Amino acid sequence: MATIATTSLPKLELQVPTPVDATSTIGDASALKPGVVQLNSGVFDIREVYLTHLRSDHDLTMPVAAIKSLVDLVERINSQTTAEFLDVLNRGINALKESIRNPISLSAGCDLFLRFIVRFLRHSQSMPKLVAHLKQSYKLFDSRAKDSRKKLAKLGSHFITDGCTVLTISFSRVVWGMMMDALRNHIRFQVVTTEGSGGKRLASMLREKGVPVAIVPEGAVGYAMNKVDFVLIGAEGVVENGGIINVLGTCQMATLAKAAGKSVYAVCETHKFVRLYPIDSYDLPVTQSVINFTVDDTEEPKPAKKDTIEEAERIGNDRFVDFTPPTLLTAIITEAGVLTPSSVSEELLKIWF
Amino acid sequence: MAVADEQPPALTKFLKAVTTVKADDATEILTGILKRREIKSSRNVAKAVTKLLLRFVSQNRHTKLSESQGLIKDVRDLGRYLVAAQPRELVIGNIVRRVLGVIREECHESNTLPGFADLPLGGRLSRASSVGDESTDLGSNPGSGTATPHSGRPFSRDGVEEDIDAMSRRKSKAYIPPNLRNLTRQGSIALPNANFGENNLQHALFSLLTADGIPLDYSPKLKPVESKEAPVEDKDIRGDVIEGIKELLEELEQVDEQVAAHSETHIHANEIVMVLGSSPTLQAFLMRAAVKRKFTVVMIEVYPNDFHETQEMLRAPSKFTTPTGLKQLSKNSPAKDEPLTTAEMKATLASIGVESILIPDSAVPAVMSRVNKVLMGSHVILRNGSMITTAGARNVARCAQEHAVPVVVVSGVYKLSPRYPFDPDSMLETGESSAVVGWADAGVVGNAEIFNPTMDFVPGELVDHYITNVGGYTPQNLYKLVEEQYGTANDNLE
Repeated sequence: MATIATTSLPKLELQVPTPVDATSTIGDASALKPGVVQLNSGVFDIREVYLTHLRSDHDLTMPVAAIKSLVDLVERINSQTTAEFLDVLNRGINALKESIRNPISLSAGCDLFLRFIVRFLRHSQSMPKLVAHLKQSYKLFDSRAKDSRKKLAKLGSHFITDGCTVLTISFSRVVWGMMMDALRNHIRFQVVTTEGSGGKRLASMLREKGVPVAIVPEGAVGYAMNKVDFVLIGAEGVVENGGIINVLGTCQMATLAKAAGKSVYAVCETHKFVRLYPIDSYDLPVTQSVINFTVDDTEEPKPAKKDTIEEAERIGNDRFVDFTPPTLLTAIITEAGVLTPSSVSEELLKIWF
Repeated sequence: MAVADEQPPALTKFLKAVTTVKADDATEILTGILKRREIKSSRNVAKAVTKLLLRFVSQNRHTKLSESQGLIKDVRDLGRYLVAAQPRELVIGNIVRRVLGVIREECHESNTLPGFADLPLGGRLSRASSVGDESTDLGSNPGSGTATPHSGRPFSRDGVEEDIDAMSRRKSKAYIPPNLRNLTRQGSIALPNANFGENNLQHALFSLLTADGIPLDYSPKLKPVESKEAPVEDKDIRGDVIEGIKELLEELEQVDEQVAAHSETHIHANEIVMVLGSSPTLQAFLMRAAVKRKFTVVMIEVYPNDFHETQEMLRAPSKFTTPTGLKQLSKNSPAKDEPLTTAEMKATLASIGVESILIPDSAVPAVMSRVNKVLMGSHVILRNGSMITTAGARNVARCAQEHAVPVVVVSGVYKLSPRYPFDPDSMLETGESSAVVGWADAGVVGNAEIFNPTMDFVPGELVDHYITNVGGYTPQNLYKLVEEQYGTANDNLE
């Protein structure tokens, strides 16, 4: 990425980093703990910054938190050359990705940010201007991300019609937003959700608003399928082939929906579009041991490492994910409109390549 | 597909009236006609609406460039009024959006600095057009490359910038498929403005990072002059807009021929083609294919709405017409630009040597295994690739899918609606039930509910290919055509 970017930049002041810098970077890198970037002016713990952002605002999505952490990093880079700038930025991105167990969603933010910077610089904008621009729009990220969620909710709530039954999985802020929008429009609907990973939270929140909710075990998804009108799921990320990455169980739900002839709508903000092209769930850059073969009867599968339960749930570190291929999805609802998976695929490839 | 009217006297009356009365009165006449559903085929509705808009724009008080926002608002209000008169006729909205596109385009054209259009194109234009010429992919015939000089009218969302690619395309007067344009767009020359050529999705992606105040275009001299306030540059755009609407009318006239130009690549020798409905587009398509190919047509009867016409055909095969542009094929009848009934269509086909078989609707599954291809027309195509067409079409399409027979839909691009079918059932229409069972038959009428839906919703999965006057598209790729036709402007007419 960095090499491509630098070669196409129009105004490059090529300066070789001084040997002192180079050695100090290399020398200290081995001693660093994960998530720490070495800068000229000191070290920067990007992981900590990222987690702080997530902790401070419960509504913040992972990609936006990643972008904010990267802006924090950019402000501390006092380099004169584009090459060095991009190098530090890339190191920051890599450090962040490596230090978080499930970096799919945050890598969407990182890629978007990097792409934006390359575009910005390609159009002959100078670096100080870039930093100034980022600083200026820093505070707006949150509100813009929330705006897009609102817009998305408004657009997507058309799908929820009076008297319909929606099947959903886990807790997704965008799905919740859509349902709230539908409620505001006085639409009566009922929801079937699975019990795992936030499903119960969604159920209690919806019940509080007077929406009838049924919680079913994961094994009953096929049983419940004929009683629902369509499937509405959030997504941790939308990948380049138009498939989605979401909590474990999404793929089976979509498969069952397809078999039953029900529509599957994935809901996702565009900043969650990830630069990945997985063929199946095993291609995801996540280490998760879902399938554990053992002959030891007493051995229980170990739960994934988590910091605290609450935090982990929000950050999505405790839950396993799977990949739902584009063929199982009817449409992907984004704030840019209701798109078919193949159109998402094409547009994404166009942006990145 | 529109169930063809034998003669829509309401349309003839309206077309006569629209040139003489005031635009407001003409609007009232048309809304009345639409409400009573006196014109049914989407072509006729499109024609009527375009004619009305032509009248409306030419009588509107906003003529100057500075007043363009007022004109846009007026047209949009008129559009809302018309759409409200017949919300199920999505073509009304399509035409209004196209006209709004024409107005916006004229504004941008006049708003741009002279010479700007020539500025960044250079090699890119020539490259793009050459690729476009090679690539008349699915309908590879000489006609399709130049068929649509005014097919695409993209404009940017904020109404300030002009899309360079749109300009290049207009200049070259050649239709370049959007996907190829996008490929070439990545090419050698850096765009002066990163927002150029950006579509809705790309815009949404980067909107998080792009500040509203600081757009990515760095060079102030490339920005359009602020001529909206400057009286010096305030030019009259009415003439250009009227010109644009007339082009739209022309497009409506030429649609059949342009679609028919693709026929040879889709109908092959000795094929058995199943045909549903009797739209003029479909007929022109078959007629053109028949010029070069020998094939068999299996016509579906489309009971009950075309039933009587079929009976009539068996009795009196003399009544036939040919579509416009194919006059050379008919020796003895004058060309008539009216939609044809199934009966007329079969007669015409038989007269030019296509073997025609007429089957009842119930025989579709029985015959499907012997069919190579299913052809149908459409009433409206929706942005997600689904369509609304004659009742019975879903049956046929589903049956074709079961037999792995490709379903090809022919349609003018004016039928493509940018709306998403959130609730398809609300877009369907029901006809008079007396067509199924006459009121006199008390034995049935008293004991059963009789229902005659005239339209069917066919989901995109059941359609393999759309052939429009601007080329072939798969249902999955229709969104690009929507962007091409209506740009990213979001006019809510409903």
